[in-house]
Amino acid sequence: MPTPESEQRARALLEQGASLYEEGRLYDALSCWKQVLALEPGNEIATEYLRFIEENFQIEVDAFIEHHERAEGVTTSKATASPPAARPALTEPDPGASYEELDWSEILEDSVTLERGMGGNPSPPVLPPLDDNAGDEDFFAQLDAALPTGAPTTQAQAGGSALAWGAGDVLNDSGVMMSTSTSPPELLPESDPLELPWSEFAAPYTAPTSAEVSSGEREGRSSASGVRRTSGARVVSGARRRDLTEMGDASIQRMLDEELSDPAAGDGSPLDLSPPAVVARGAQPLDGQASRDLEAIIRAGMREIARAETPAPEAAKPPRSATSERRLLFSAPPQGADPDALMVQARRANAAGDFTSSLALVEQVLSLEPEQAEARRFMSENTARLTSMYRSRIGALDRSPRIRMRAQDIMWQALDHRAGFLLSQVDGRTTFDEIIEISGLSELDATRILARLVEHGVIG
Amino acid sequence: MERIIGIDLGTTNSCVAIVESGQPVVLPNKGGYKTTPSVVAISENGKRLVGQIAKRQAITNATNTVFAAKRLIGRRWNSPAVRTMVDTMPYTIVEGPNGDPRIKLRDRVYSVAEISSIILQEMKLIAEEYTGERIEKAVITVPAYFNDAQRQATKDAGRIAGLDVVRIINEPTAAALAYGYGKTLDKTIAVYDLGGGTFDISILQISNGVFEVLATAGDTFLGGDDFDGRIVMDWLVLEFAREHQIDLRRDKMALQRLRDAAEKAKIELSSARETEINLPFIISTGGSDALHLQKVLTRDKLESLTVDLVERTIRICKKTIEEAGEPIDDIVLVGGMTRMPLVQQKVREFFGKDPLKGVHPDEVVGLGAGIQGAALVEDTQGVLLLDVTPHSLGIMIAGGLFSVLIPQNTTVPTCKSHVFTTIKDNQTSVKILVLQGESERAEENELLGEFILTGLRAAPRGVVEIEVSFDINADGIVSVSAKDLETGKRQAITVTATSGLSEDELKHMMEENREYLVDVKTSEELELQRVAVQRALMEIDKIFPRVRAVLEGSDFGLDAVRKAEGVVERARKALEGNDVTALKTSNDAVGKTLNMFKGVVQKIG
Repeated sequence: MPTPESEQRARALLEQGASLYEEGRLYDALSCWKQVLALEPGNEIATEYLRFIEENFQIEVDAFIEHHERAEGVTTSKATASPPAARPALTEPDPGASYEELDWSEILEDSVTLERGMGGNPSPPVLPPLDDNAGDEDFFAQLDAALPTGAPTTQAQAGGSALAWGAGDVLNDSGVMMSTSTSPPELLPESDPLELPWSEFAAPYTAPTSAEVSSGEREGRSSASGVRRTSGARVVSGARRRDLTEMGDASIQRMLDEELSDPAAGDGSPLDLSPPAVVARGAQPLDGQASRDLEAIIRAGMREIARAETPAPEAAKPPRSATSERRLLFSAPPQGADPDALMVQARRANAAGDFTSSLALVEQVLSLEPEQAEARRFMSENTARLTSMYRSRIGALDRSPRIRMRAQDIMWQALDHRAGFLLSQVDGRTTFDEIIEISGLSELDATRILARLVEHGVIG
Repeated sequence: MERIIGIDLGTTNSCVAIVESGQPVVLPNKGGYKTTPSVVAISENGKRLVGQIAKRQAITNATNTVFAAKRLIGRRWNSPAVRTMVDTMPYTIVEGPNGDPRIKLRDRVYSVAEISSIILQEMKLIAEEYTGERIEKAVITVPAYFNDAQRQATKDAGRIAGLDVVRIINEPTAAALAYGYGKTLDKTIAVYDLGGGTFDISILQISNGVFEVLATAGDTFLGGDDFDGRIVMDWLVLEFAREHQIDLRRDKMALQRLRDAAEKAKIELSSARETEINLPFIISTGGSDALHLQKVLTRDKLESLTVDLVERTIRICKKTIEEAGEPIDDIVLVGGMTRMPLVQQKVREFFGKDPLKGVHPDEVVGLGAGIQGAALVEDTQGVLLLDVTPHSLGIMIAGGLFSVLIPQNTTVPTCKSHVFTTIKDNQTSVKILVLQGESERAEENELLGEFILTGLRAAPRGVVEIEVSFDINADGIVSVSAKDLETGKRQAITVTATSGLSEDELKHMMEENREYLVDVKTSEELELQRVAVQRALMEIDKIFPRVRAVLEGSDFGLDAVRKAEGVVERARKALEGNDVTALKTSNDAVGKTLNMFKGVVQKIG
C-alpha cells in the first residue's frame, strides 16, 4: 500500500526524470522512472514515459540501463563464456548538447572496439576521417567500411565469446549505445544467425504457444534482445527478452498485452514477467447485473463494428496522374566492394536492429546493382521505418511551427547550414510538410533535422 | 448573379480581383498575401507546388521550377525571346511538336499554356474560396505588345484551368481603368510598369471610352529580380567571400536564402533608410561549425548598386514619349518596384510631375481587370471597354510593303475593304499575305495566313481590280477575302490565331487538369483518414489491456476481444496502404471499437 511519503517521492522522481530527459540525460531519466515503478508498480505516468522512450528511441529500456551500468563498471548477472576484453568506458553525452555536438569519433571508436572484442582482438581499427557534413547513414557507412574483413561472423569463429552473437553493441539512431544480449541466441546449434537465408529474414514470425513460452522460461533460455520495435512495443524485462525482430506487429502486441496485463504475475509488477507463462490469466469473473450490462455493451458494440466493417460498394477510383517516383540517394560503395558481401553486412545490421547502417549498405549495393530486388525492397522498408520514426517525433506534420528559442540562443546551437536553411523556412505559416517539401533534402534528412530541432526546443 | 473575376497574370506575380459592393478588391491568397508568385514547380516526390511555396525552393530545385513563363507564351520556338530564355533559364525548354517552346519538368513535358494554367487555376481557387461560389469566367490582362498568338495562348491557358476567358485586355489599359474608375477621363497618360521581371512603358489616349495605345515599349528582361540580383551577387556574395574566402554561390541553400533576404531587404528600404540582413548558419565549414552572415544594407548602398537599372528604364521612356508625340497628362505607376524611392524620384524628374499614387502599384492591373469583369456582367456605361484590335491588319503589296486595312485600336466588330490591282502584264493570279503589325515592311510583321486568287483575266498591269476585304466579328475572328470585281471570282480564308496547341491537345490538357484536382482531393482525404485511424488506435492500445482483463472471463467477452483484435489488425494494415475506402472503413470500425471499450471501462470503473 503506497504511503504519502512514497507517493511524494514518486512524484518528485517523475519530475526529476522529466527534467533529466529534457537535458538529454537519458540513462538518468530512465533510472528515475524505474525507481518510480519500484515504489509504485502501477504508476501509469512512469509506465507511459518508459513506453514512449522504447517506441521513439527504439530501445529496450532494461537492456539499455544494463549496458550503461556495465560500461560504468557495475557487474552484470550474466555469465560469459570467456572473460570479456577490456572495454573503454563510454563517455556520456554532455547535458544540453545537441545532436550535432556529440563527439561521434569517440563513440564510434568505442563501438568498433567492442565488435573487435568478439574475436579477442583488442586493438580497434583506425577509423577514416569522418565527413562532418555527412548524415547518419554516411557515418555508419564509413564506419562499416573501416571494419576489417575477417571479423568473426559465427559464434564458433568468435571462440564462443558471449559477445560474438549479434553485432555487438551498436548505436541506435539517437547515438545511444544499445546492448544486445550476452546470452547465446535461441537457435539450433548448427545454424548461424548471420547466415540466415534472405527469405527467413523476411519471413513472418509465428508466435510461440504459451506452452512453448513456459517451457522456454523454465529452461532458462533467452534470446538476443535488440528489440527494435515499431509503435506498440511494451517494456520487456531483461529477465525474459526475446528476439522480436521478425515478429509481426500484431503478434508482438498480443504477446506483450498478455504479459503486461497479468496482475497475478510475479510480484504484481506489470513489468515483471517472471513465470508462470502467459496462459489463461486471471480474468475477473463477471456475474449478475454487471455481467448482463457488460454483455449488452459488448453486443451493441459488436453490431456497430460489424456494420462499420461491411464493405461499401467500391466507388470508381479516379485515374491517377503519372507522378515521378521518388529518387533514391545512393552513397558510393568502397572501391572493389562486392555486392553480396555488402548484403550480408546489411542483413547483419538489420538483424541487430541498426536500420541506419543497413540502409547505407543497401544504398551501396544498389549503386553497384541498381535492380537488385532484395536491396530495393530493403531500401524502401528501412527508409520508411526511419522516416516514420522521425515523423512521429515531430508530431502532426500539418502544423505550422514557430521559432521557440531566442535568436541569441539559437546562435549558440551547433547547427549546420541545412538546419539553418530549414530554420529559415519556419515562419508560423508554413507547415512541417511544406518545409520538408521545399527543403531540397531527402525526406529522411529533412525529418531527421526537424525532429532534432523540435526535440531541442528550437522550434515547435 | 454570374461573377467574372479579373486576373493580372504577371511575369513574376499574379493577382485576382472582383468588385464587391461596388468596390474593386484584390483577393488575398491562403497565406494572406494579395499577390501570388507566378512560379510552378514539381518537387522531388512529384508534388505540384505553386506560388510562394514554389518560389521558396526555386533555387534548391532550380531545374524543376518554372518562372517567367509569360516570356514564352504564344511564341515560336525559333523566336529571339525564346532563344534567350533557353540560354538563360535553369529549367529545360524544348521544341514542341507544333514549333512552339515546351518546358520539361521531371519526366514530363508541359506546354507553356499548361504552366500558365496552373497559375490561373490557383487564382481561380483563391476567388472560389473567398466568394464561396464556383468561378467559371475571367478577364485576363496581357502586355499591350502581345500579338494574337500570345493572346490566344493566354486564353487557352484559361481554358485548361477551367475558365472561360471572356475578354483579354491590355495591362496599361487595366491600370488606367483602375484609376479612372468612377470618373470620366479624357486624357493622355503614361503607364510606367516596372514589375518583378519586365519593364513596360505605354502611352494611352483615353477618350469616349476608348483606350487607344499610342505607343508601347519595354524590356522583357528588366525587373525587380535584377535588383535583387545586384544585392546578392554584387554585394553579399562578394563581401562574404572577401571576409571568409567562401563562395556562397556554390551552395543552393545559401543562394536561396540570400535571394529571399535580398528581396525582403529591398522592400524594407522603400520605407526605412537601412535594414539588417541576418542569416545564421548560412554555410557549414568543417567540424560542427557554421558561419553566419550579418550585414546592414542602407538605402544609399542599394541605390548605388541599382541606379543604372533605373536609368535604363528612363532611356526607354524617352524614346517612347517621342514616338507618341503627345503631351502627358498623368503618370500611372504599376508594379511593386515602383515603390522604390529612387524609381519614383527618376520618374518624377523625367516626366516633370508627380505620378499618381492612389492605388497600390502591385494591385492596380488586377483591380482594372476586376472592374472590367464586373462591367461585362452589369454592362456599366462609361466603364465597359470597347474591344479593339491590338495591332494593325493588312496585306503585303508590291515592294514588300505593308498595306494597312484595319488600323490598330479599331473597335470590333468591323469590316474594311480596299481595291488593289496587278503588278505585271497578263498576271492571272495574285497571292494575298495577311499580316498583323505596325511595321511598314511586310517581313517585319507577323504572318497570319495566305491564299491565292486565280483565274484573273489576262490584261495589262493595273487594269484588273481586286477588292480585298477584312472582316472582324465580335469574337475576334478575322476573315479575309479577295474578289475580282470584273468576274466576281472570289477566294477567302478565315484567320484563327493559334497558340501552338491543337484543339485535341487542349482538350486532353483540360481533362488532365481535372484529374489532377480529383487526385489532390483524394490525397487530402487519405491523410485525414490516416491521422484519425492512428489516433483511435493509440487510444485503443492504452485501454485494451484493461478491457481484455475484464472480458476474457466470458464467451461474449472473448468474442469481443477477438473481434477487436481483428479490427486493430485490419486498421494497421490499411494504414500501410493508400486506399481511402479501406481507411474510411477502418476509421469507422476502430471508432466503434473504441466506443465499445470506453463503454466497458466506464462500466467497470
